[in-house]
Amino acid sequence: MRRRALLGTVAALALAALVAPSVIRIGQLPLVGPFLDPVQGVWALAAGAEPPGRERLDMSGLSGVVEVLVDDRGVPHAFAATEEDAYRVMGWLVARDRLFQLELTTRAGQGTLTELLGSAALEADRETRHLGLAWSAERELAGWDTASVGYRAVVAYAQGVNAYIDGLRTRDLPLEYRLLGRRPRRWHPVYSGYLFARMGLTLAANDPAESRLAVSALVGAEAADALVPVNSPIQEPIQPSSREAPRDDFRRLPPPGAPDTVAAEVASREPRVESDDGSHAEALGSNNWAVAPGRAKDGHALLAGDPHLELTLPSIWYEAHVVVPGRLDVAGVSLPGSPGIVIGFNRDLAWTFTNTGGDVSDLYLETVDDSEVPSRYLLDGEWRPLALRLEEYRDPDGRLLATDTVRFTHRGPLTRRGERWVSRRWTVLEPSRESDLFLRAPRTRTAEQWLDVMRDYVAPTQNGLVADRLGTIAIRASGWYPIRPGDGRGDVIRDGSTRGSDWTGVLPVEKYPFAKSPAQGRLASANQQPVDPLDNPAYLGADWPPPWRALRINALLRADSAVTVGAMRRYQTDPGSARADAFVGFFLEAVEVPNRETEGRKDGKTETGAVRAAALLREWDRKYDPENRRAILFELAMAELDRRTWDELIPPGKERPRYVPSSATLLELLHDSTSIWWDDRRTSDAVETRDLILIASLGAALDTALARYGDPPGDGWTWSRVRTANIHHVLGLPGLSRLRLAVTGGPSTLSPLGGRGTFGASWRMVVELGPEVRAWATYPGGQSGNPASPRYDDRIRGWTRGNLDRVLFPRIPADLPPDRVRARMTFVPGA
Amino acid sequence: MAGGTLVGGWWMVPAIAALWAASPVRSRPAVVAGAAGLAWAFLLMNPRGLPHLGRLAGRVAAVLGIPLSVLVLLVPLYAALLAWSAAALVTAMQGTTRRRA
Repeated sequence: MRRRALLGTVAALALAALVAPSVIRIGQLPLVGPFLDPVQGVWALAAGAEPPGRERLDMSGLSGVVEVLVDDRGVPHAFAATEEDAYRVMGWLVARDRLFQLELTTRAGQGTLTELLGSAALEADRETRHLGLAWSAERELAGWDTASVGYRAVVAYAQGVNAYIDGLRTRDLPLEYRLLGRRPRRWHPVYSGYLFARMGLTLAANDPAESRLAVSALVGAEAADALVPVNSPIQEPIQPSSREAPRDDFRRLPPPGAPDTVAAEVASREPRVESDDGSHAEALGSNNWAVAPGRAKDGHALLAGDPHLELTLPSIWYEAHVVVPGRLDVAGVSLPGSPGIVIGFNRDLAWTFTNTGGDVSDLYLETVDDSEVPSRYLLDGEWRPLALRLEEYRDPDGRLLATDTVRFTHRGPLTRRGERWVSRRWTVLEPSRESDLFLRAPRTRTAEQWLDVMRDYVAPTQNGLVADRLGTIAIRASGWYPIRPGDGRGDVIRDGSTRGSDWTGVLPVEKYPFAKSPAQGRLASANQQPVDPLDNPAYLGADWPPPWRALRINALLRADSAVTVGAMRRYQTDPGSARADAFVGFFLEAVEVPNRETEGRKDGKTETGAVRAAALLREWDRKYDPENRRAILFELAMAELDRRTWDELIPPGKERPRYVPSSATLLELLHDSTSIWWDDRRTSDAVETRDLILIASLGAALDTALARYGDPPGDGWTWSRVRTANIHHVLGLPGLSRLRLAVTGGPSTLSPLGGRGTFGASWRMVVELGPEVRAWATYPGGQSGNPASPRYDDRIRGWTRGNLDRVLFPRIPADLPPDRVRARMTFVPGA
Repeated sequence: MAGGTLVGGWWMVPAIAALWAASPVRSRPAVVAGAAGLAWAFLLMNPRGLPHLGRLAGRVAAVLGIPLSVLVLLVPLYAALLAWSAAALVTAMQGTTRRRA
């Protein structure tokens, strides 16, 4: 009897212990029973890894049948009778493949991540809401013409997403929702607006005024002007100039001056994005180039584009092909969450974008009535009320976590900087209707028509490159460029108490940087300054990324008068580096050439190390292929050079600078061997010169390399062992990420790889505009967000090798070879 | 067990195990547990999902930070333990009830 009682007690406890974690969530664990259930649990994702061969689906709201064929690359080809039907089905398809990503990215733009992820996301949400992103998206939707193409498409897309969600069975629930213990929320058209607002933040977050403030706060305004220059010291502009070659515009940097106390009060405390090794963030950016028929071997215009964005799984892009006979036949990539192909091609033309990086944001020092809880701000002698927006942050169960009051002047959101208040006007927050443009542009048939549509593009400024079958190639840096009063500069903080500081308008389209079918037969952009100031001094921005990639691609294209599709593809992963070409010589000369500056002042140990390092560096072919064993030495030397040169920019009490001038400015300084900037103030017993800094940097780089990676003959210096691409899952789950990928590329190469390797070519596309448009493309990921799917990450291997897939582009369903069809779906109008 | 899980989900395992233990058949809890484990192992072998099961299991195991083999064994083990505990509890209660009677 006792034995039975004991057995019963043990059994009851065991049952309770097994059932409890299946009904009550314990910590981060998913509910155990539902998770392990072989039918409805996580294993069901395996059964849903591939779409059924044939499906018929009812969808309300459709006006006619929509046929979708999914090819063996996972790309859906949707054939619809109307555009609304097409976008409705697109919403459904993207929801099927990327449901969790849809919610995560739009919540990131809305500032409601805490409702999905909990309090850990609170600071990210606060930043988003204080930037005004959600406010701007909601304002835009409220003012949208409900009869417009864009509005109807966004609504149809939302209906498609919701149709999928409404039919979602437990077994179809994505893994991320199971891990979080959540279910997807229904979609609203405004979510597409959050998505674009977030993209605007990604592309136009940096304001040169912030960089200039950070520098002014330490070394004064005059030095800030030189270190955060309006014009790039190296000119290789997008808009062709009369000069055949790049132009150096090097000047002597003024010495560090007294700190600007006002700048010190209002400078942001946040460091700008930097890579791990402390070098300037030069990995974020994009490339595009086009070749006119006269320079293409086969006599057809060629276009290549690769936007560089954060590498994630699932990918930031979703590939699709949409056909509405007589209206639309477009293929390329969309942003999950928004209808419309953003980068792609149709039967007549192809287009792609790089970020212009124009200065589209301004800061205003406001005078408020109460420095703690302001309710009014001063404008032209009158107190005006601040618009207030109460922001509430909630957890996944709806409990209130925090509240904020976000204040707005007529310019935009107001934020506190120490004891001061600063407002920001930003074109990203202006009503812009990108959705309309990305839906109208694919219907155009010539470059002229495409450019005409893009006249209405607002933010952020983008270098839109287009090529058509008529042989036209053209590029225009489109978007609103604010017209500022006075000297027109936007890299300064202005007095907010007067309307005289406000923008007086925006540049007319005719003044945008532009080129069409130039005599040189080629166009290329890689985020460099769009126009040589000698040709047009108008202020478009400041602190431009150094033009290393532009220099490299232009050099390659100049040397190739019979460009092929294969060459276009190879150039996208070219391992050469204009940056290395520019800097290596300085390191070698400092060590090898005897000079008065360094005689008698060399440290014996450093000298020996630098000599050995220089010998190793001389062996380098200046390329960044995965097997290269010298590139790492150069990168370490460059990091040391930055660290030792810009000591004046390290705030008191900190170890790293808040801002690091670009490598173009560093090169400019290298041409001035006697500049006071070379003196490292941290060494009070010595006054360093350029060559001593170079020698010390080389020596220290070698020491670091030996300590971290061993002796050079070994494998430890292999580039693919020290720098890799790292594609993280959107939640950062290591098991769903692809890490330590060996790729060609390094900082500032055409396929850039820097820092943590988390940014890079998110899409690569080459298009030939011949009698039949042909395209090749890939991205580092897969079409499906289901980790059980073979299409979760199937493209990564090819992407690491620089391969591109031939993109299938059928005019009608029957054109798709049957052996390339993996699924057929028929959407019929339903109740 | 398999049918119950198909129809009602994971909680059908302890429910069916309890009914089974209370039935005139009166199988031992270990037998009930074995049946449940086998049922869940069988259900994992869904022909549609089988080609992709290894890929999924590897990734899920990595996410959870446990070995793949542990994750896979956990499925039938969990079912077996659920079934055993329910059946054993009912068996113990039945024994107590008969003695009182």
